[in-house]
Amino acid sequence: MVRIFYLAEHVKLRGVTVDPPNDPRSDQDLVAAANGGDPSAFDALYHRHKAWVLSLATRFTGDADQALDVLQETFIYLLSKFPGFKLTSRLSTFLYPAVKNISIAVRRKSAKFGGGQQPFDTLPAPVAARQNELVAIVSGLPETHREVVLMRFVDGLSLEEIGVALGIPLGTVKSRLHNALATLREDPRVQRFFEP
Amino acid sequence: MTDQNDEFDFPKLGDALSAAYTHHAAIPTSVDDAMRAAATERFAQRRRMRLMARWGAGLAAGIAAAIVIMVSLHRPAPVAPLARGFDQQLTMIDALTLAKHLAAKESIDKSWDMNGDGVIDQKDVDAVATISVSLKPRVLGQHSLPTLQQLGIAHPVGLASASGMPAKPNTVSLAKSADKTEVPQ
Repeated sequence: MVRIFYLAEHVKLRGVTVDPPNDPRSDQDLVAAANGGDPSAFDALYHRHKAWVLSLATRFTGDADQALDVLQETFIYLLSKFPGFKLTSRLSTFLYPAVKNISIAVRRKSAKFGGGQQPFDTLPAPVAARQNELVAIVSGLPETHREVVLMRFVDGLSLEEIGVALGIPLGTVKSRLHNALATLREDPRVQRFFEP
Repeated sequence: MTDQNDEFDFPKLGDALSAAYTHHAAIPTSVDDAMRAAATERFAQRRRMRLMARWGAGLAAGIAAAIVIMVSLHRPAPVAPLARGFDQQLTMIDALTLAKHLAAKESIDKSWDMNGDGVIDQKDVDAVATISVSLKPRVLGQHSLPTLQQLGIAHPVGLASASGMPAKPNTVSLAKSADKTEVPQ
């Protein structure tokens, strides 16, 4: 704790940004501390989840600059929940719909000025992996199926967490995932990924 | 990880998808600084609000205490003991005054305990009212009006005319006098 305060003061005095060390407290503890008015707890939450949020935002927007906007908007939204924020499951399940909705809003706003044609409620293809065969196949899945596949295998969310994040029953999550994997298994190009 | 999650656990697929979809873009320090500044401002604002609420509560408590003290200091004095007017007679006004003080639950002087039961209540108001309309000399007191005899007036002269009744001895009948009038031939 002393070290965190020292670093916070150091950052404040020197005017440089240094990521704080990994806070040993859990997300639940950090949320509780932030509810009590501890800014360093929120800072720790930000540094713990910012990379995942940025990656998710990039996946949703397909644009690095827009992803940065989404990152800031998402954590401003989280900040607005304090005090009184109740974390009932993993923070990822709270952040996921926020990132998704903010991404849609940012893309819509961007298209308003830039004249984009892509529908806002669909995920764009990954920027850095458009040539990837697996990505091409996954992109061919229905939107709802693709989303649960990515949440499960990229974001590492459990089935229950996917259900909470999307606001759908567990049975629906399992059904979508089962159908998506069955479709992928039928493709000989990706069958090797299912081998043990 | 539960069993149902294991059912959908394919490490190779997960690694391949993570490699394809995970973006490792650098976050500019300006973004981190902006977030830190926003958080600091937000929590400082909350601290200020909490401090203001605490001060406000203290101020409100102080005002409330001052009001209580002022009210207790300006509580009406007990009713003056039997303010019976210049002739020391109880009147209906006294009964009304006592009733008003009782209704306002104000402290009342013990001298208003007319029936002597130790409690000043509606019975005492009734007693004052009864006394005020009583014709008994002892109740009316010593300062009742003097009688005509005490004033030396034996006969009620002029009382009849004053009351509007014609006094017989002084009555002049105009008809009779008209009959007696002789008309010159």
